[in-house]
Amino acid sequence: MQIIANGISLGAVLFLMGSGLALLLGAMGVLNLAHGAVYMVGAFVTSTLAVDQGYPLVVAILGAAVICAALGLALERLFRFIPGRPNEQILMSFGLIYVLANLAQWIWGPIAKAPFRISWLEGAVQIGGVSVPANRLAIAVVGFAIALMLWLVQDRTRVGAMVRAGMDDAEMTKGLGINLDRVVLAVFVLGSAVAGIAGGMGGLVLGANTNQPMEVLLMALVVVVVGGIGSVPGTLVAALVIGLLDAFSRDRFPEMSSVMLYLLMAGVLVLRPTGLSGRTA
Amino acid sequence: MPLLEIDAVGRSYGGVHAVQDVSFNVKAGEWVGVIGPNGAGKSTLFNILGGQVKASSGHVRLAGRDVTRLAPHRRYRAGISRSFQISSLFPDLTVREHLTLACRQNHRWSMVRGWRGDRVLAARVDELLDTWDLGRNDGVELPANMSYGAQRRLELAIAVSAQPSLLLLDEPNVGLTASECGDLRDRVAELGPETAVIFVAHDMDMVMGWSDRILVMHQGQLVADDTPEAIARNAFVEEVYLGAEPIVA
Amino acid sequence: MTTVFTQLRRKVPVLVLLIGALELPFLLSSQQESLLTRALIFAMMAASLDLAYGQAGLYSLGHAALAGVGGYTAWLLMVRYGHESFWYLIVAAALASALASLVFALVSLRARGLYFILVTLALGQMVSNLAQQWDFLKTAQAEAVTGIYIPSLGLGEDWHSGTLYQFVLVLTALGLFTIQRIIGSPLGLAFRGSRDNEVRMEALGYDVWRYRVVAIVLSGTLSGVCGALFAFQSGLISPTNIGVATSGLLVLMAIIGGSGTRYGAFIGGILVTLLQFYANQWSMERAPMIIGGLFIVTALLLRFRPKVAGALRSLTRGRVSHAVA
Repeated sequence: MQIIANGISLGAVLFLMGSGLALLLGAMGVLNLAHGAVYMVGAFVTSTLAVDQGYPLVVAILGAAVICAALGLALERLFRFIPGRPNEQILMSFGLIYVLANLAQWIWGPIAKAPFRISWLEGAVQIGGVSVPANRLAIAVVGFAIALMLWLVQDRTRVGAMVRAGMDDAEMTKGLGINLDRVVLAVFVLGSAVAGIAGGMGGLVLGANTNQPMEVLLMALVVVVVGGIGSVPGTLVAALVIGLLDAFSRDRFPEMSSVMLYLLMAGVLVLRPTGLSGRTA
Repeated sequence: MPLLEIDAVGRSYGGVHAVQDVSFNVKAGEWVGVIGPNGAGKSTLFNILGGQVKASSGHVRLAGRDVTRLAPHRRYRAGISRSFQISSLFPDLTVREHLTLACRQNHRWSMVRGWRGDRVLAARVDELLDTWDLGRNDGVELPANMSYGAQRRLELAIAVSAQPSLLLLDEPNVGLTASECGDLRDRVAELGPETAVIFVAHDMDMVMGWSDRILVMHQGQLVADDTPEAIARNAFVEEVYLGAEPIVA
Repeated sequence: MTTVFTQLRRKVPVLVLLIGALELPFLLSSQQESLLTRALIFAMMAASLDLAYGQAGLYSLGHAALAGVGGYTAWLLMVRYGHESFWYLIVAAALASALASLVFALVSLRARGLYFILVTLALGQMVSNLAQQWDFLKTAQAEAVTGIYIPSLGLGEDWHSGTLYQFVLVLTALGLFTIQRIIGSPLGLAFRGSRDNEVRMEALGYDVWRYRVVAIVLSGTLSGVCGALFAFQSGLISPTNIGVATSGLLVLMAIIGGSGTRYGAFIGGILVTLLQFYANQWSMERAPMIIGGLFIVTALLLRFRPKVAGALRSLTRGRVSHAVA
């Protein structure tokens, strides 16, 4: 039971990260490997506000979301400035990871932050006779709430329609007079804010450290490859499967746990290269 | 037996039929023009023949052999070669390198032997540079620095270097003057009386002049398949294509 | 038109450079010799990466892992199984890397475009994680595995930093020569053709997928040799050495020097390794900032490269290279 709770809460965090990455990549053709660095900033900011300064967790996470949205704005400027080719995007991403991780080390020190202890999320909640740790429950609830919200935005709103159109055919979308640059900006800012929230919530069980840009990015990109592109439900299912697989294998074969994810990814690629949702760009 | 048999071929994209239930045969040595308004399915048909797009229904047979599921590179080896629009040349490769790539398929794999040192290959490339009138600067020229006519000749030269039995030409005349266009035709004709040619073009004079037969496509379907004379008299064709809509090249 | 004379004229500067570099140990401290040896190994790794990355257009972010397979294989055979012949170990490392690259290629080539990049990144990390977690690849719970040293060539040689440098220099020259031969061969031409226009290549009868597999395997095999040399020289190899960060650095090396050109990746490899070393000397803590800055500045300025390259070329009136824009 503990394993399932661990898996679902990790899955929720991965979903938040994966959806941002997938939107940028699938809809906009932007390879932003610095997405994990935004997560890290969100985690550190939440740690400062909630743990050190004693603000309520909700306020702290909103603060992290705002700061990460601003960071997303800056990233969008940088990515806008370079030609949209793999070479430039790879270099820019790696550079940002180096700089942001080092900056975080400068500001918050070289020692990793322990999982945040928030008094009202200590202990466990009884659901149908099963005891679930409250912090993990909170992560899952927030994750699913945002998943629902993203799904509604993508499915029901004008921006969402533009994103879907961009995913299908960028040229045609431009022909229809939709300003793709605006949509890219919106996705960058929204995606980064969500990554900030993911960092804040994830910090409840993972803390904050400067290896996270790569670690979180890698798990998120496995989610993207497994889930395929352009469907919120596909990403959600992939994130949950991967979260559960990770929790399960950490428990059963710790020696091989982090390899399992990649084996799953390789397996999905070989059997079904378009991912679970059946679409690729 | 016809060289090429197209049997009820169709291709749909998410419910939209780009090509639907198209059937026709092409005999060895026949020149067939494909016309139709933009979006009529000509490109999709070409891509199905070349293997770039898989048919969702129907069969394509070459000399009796079913090639419907064959990958493009295998179709090329089976004898189907195609040209593309001009932009499909390799931007960073010189003329000489284009021709080397095209000829090398007829040689065996030579891993690390420099191609400058391969005399047979070099001789063949020199010969092609000469016949196709591409020898300016000893062939050390990038496509971007060449005239349209020369780019077209290069495009054709690499498409026909393996002596295909069926040649597909995608708008071979775009950007060419009338005399260059005639030159192109003569060069294709030199492939021999057995080579069949299917081409897409918008220039009606050219289509009438080149074709033994004309296929007319409209909304993904084959609406006419006849001699140039009959097509010119066909009222329906005139309505859907020749008269009603402006012809866009 | 190529006469014997012009061919010789092309080779003379290279030979002079090589002989000059061979004599360098007379001028350098042993620390500098080690640094240069390290730079040569990484430059060679970057050059072999560029065979896939620049020539075949396969943007791989997992290359360090393929080198790592070579390094770990050498360590395993030497420390666990007691093999001490250089030739045996280097061939084994190359074979292991070739096999790993084959698997790497078969999985990663299932993904297209930008997804290929993601998959190579993940596969590279998988190898690094395996080295981190699997007890079989660890000594005494430490991250890095140690106990490896420069094996014997069987020629009664006397290993110290100077002779090792000279030996690695000769190997590097051989490796670079091999890469030049591949680039100049029909195979290299087919790599560039597949990179520039996949559809066209297939319509010309080329099985593009197969050429891509070959590119990755060749590139991985060569870097497996480099990985083994790295382990011999360092006396250790760790999961971080073969991780994503190193793969990223290799890409930076290739691009800074000129990805897709003849010697670009190699020169970039030397430059970046030296820069990283001196940045670390200046400040261990802030060096990542400099490296990160280098990544970003390169990304920002990369679009001006064709102009710079063109200007350089007209200055030196060099031969037409296969530069990619």
